[in-house]
Amino acid sequence: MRLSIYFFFIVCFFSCEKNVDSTTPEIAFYHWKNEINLTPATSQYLQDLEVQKLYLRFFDVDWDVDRQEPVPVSEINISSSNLPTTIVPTIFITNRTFLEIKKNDILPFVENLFLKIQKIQKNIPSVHISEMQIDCDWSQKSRENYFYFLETLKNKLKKDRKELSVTIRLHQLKYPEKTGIPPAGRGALMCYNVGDLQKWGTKNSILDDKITSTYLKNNMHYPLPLDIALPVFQWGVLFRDGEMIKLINQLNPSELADQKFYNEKTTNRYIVQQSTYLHGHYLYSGDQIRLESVSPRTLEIVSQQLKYAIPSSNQTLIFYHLDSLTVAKYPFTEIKKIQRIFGDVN
Amino acid sequence: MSSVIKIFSLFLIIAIVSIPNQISKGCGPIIYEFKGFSFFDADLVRTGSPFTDFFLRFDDFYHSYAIADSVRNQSNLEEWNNIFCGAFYEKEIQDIVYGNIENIKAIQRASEKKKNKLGLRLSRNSFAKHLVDYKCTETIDYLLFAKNCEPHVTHSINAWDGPKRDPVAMKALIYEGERVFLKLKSNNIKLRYAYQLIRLAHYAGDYDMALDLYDRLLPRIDPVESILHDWILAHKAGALLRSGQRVEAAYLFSLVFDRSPSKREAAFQSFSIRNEKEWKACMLLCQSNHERATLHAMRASEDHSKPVNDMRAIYALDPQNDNLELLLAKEIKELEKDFLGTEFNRHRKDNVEFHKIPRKQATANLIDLTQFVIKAGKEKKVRRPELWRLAEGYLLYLSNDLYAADQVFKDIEKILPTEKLQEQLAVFRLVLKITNYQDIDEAKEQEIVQIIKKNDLYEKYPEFEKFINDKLAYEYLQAGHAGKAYRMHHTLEAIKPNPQVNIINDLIEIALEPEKSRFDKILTTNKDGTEIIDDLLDIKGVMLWNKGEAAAALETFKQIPVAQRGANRFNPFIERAKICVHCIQPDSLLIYNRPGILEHIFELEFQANSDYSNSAKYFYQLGLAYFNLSYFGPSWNAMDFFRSGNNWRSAKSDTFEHWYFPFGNKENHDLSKAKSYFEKVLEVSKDRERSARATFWLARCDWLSYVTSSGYKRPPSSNHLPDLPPEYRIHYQQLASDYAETDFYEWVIRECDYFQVYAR
Repeated sequence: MRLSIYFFFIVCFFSCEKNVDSTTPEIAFYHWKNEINLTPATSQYLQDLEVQKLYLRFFDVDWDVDRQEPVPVSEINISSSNLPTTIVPTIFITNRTFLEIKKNDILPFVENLFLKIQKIQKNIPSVHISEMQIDCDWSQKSRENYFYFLETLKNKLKKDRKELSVTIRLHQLKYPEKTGIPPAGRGALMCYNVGDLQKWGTKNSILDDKITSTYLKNNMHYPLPLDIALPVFQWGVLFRDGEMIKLINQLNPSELADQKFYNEKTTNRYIVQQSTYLHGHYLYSGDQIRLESVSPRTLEIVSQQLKYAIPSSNQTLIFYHLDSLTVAKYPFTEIKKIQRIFGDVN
Repeated sequence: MSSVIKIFSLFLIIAIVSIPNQISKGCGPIIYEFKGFSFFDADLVRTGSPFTDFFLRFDDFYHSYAIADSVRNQSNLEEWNNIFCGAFYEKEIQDIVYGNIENIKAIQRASEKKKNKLGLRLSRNSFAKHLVDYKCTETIDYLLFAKNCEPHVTHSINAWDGPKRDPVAMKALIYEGERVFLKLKSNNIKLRYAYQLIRLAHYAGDYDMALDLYDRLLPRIDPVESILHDWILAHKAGALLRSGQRVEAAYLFSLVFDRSPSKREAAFQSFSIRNEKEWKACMLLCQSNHERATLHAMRASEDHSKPVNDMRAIYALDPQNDNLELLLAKEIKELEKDFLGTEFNRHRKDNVEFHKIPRKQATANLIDLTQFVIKAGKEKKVRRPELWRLAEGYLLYLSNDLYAADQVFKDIEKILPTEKLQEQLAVFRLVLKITNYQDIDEAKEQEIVQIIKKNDLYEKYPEFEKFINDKLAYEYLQAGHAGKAYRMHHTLEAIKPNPQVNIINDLIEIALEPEKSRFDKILTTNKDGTEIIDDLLDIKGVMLWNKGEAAAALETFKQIPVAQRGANRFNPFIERAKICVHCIQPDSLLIYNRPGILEHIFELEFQANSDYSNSAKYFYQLGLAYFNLSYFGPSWNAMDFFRSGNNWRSAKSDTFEHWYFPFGNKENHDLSKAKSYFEKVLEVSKDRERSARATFWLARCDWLSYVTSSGYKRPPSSNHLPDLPPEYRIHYQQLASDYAETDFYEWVIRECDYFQVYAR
């Protein structure tokens, strides 16, 4: 009798534990800079959030016009020893790479890419790697080459018992029959950069719940299991003569407070009054800046939309991206709040 | 003889107006790059200034790493040759300095032996031979040392390998190099060792060591003239930047930018000022006005810069500065895009849409630059005030102050000292003259013909052709001559896939005018000297026919002389079991030309409406004919001039963009006429076999209408049939339910695998 009671509690314990695991998404971050050197505060932040997985951009790949081949650029420099236990090497590949490359050259490209990743991996022997992610905003014309690349890479990773994941844009989620389903193990739905960056009139190009609502409807059945990527970054979009010319990363409103140089015409929209330097860019009088960031409220609304659109278990909630400003602007409680929204669904 | 010249001139002009300008280099896709004009000759400011390539990099000269490498290597080879008093071919030095390490080892071995012996290939290299003969041990050892450093500091041939940097090995090389350095006699070689060591320390990430080596080694070298001083300085700047000494680094990068062509682009890329404070601090580090002016020149060279204020600053600090003219040229090139011929540039809409040109504040920029240029030309402190006056005239022209521009051009015509400047003035005046043309009449057309034929500038500056064509096209359009405007850019062939009524009617009117001007004669004459009127009538007939105006079409075709109406090469009245666009029909059956088809159609319509007992037969033939004349039938080319096999599935409209046809390619997808006749067959036929056939044709029309509609959904693979919505299945089902007993139905069941699927 006593044994059966123990057995009953053990079963309850494990079944409850399993329930929590499958409904509450795991929190992860993208790291997108050229150098990773986590400060003690950032490490603490990750620990507090129980982050065990980091999507680490290893390098980008672009088409080299001189060489007529894809080449790695902006390779990461890893100076940190206190990385989370699991790393997902993430590679951004420009669409033009797949527009230019010939099908016959894809196999050696995969080979080069694979070896390069292995080489970087050697610098972080203690971390666990079971997944690799490719980020590419493919188009109709590059689709065939891109999918062939993914297929080849997936087969290669399979031998290494690693999974291939890819980023999925909102329009690719909404129109899978037009854009195609990438041959990968899973996808990460990028819920940012949703608005038209190039237009001055755009409200917020990073995240706008009105725009996301046009892409998301309840119970969307995308053929790949999807993780969710949400933005936690800010920038200034610089316009000159009506044309968007630069992004000024992690720009703060306080940096535009000096009225001698900047005049806030409407909320988050500034006109440069006097030519000056800002974040290393020389601004001219008359330039316009649209300051964009993501409010916790917008994050919550979009998360609500997403939890009904992409109900899933064993999901990862990836925040883009990790740096000291993110730590300051999106404290532990905000991130946890978002996590709970997804956890409530099942 | 004179008639030969006349004919030749005529052909020349015909060739000019009939060559379509918009043909791209490949067969598509359509590339929306900025398209405009430029008459400012950048060569005017290429006066040997070492900065020319940097500032006038309109072709991204330095942005190619391969080219940047080659500039650096070339400078290095020149210096090596100078050290040896230019005694060798640079290729010989190149083979040793940038060649295989084994060559240098062989040279070393040979120089160490008492009896010098080089291999056959190296013994033919006089540089290698010299090193051995004169036992240039320091040079040979240095070359070997540099080769050993190479893997750590240069990019691998395979871009995926990355630099093979081994900090431990790099440090070992630094210690070895420093030991050798202390024993060296040659200052040139000392400088090269210092460069290698500082570069190794910089790339090994030991910035303190790099700065320490700089401070210790450089004072030990007696002054020698060398490009390496600036290369070393660039590494010092890099080390300072990485150590957080940003202002000092920026200052040193500006010095390298100013002095070193081989490192100019790299220095520019590394130069970074974060805020006003850093800018002021950097200014304070400058030792002269020239250095301060360089900082302004660098800032003015950023992408999307507005350089006039920096030009003013350079002018105030150092009015004779080389960079002023280069910045002027760069800015004029930008303003040309905004203002030159924008009113009549035929690509103006694309330029606005895809490039946002003219820029919003272009007018303010133009005024700003013009004011500065007037001041500089007037005060005469700049190197060539006459160039600034010429620029003033051109900027006034761009401001659309044509009178003021003309006055300036008159003022300066006698003071321009060089042929090049005189020629530029002549070009600007010709541009002004063409711009002034309005209300084009015969006399003006004659003047333009004279420009095309006799003005040397027209031939020398290819921009004039585009400029004149666009200007005339614009003026003709304003005057209501759509046809003439069209002919300024396109051939008649290019309008055939989608004829435009206003263009065709205008050209026909001109072609039929008994007393045409010479220019109009050219526009309405083919390359072989024949007139284009028959072609125009043929196009108009096809256009009317497609609009459903068959009687008017026939009238138009009949205006063409019988002999010119085209051979009999169609027969849309033949029934084929399978739809086949490209099936070859025997010549004996091809008995109709275009008017012939229409006449037979009218005849069939008359019979169908008068011979009631056989109406069904005639309606059936008419349905068949209109199907065969459509995009999907073998006689498609009777009602169209061009067909693309790609243009049908999921079409949003029946007109498709095409790189060669300015109005696109309109495909004759419309099956409504064919369907209406087959429906009439069902109304009047008593013959069940014929009705079954008509129903089957209707089903085919439905299928094709669906796949050409924007609502068409592709099947998952080419082996699958499209999923036909119910409204497109009606005739399939009707055939199965109403005509199951007919012979035709039996044939359909036997021959058409897909029928069963849709009839369900």
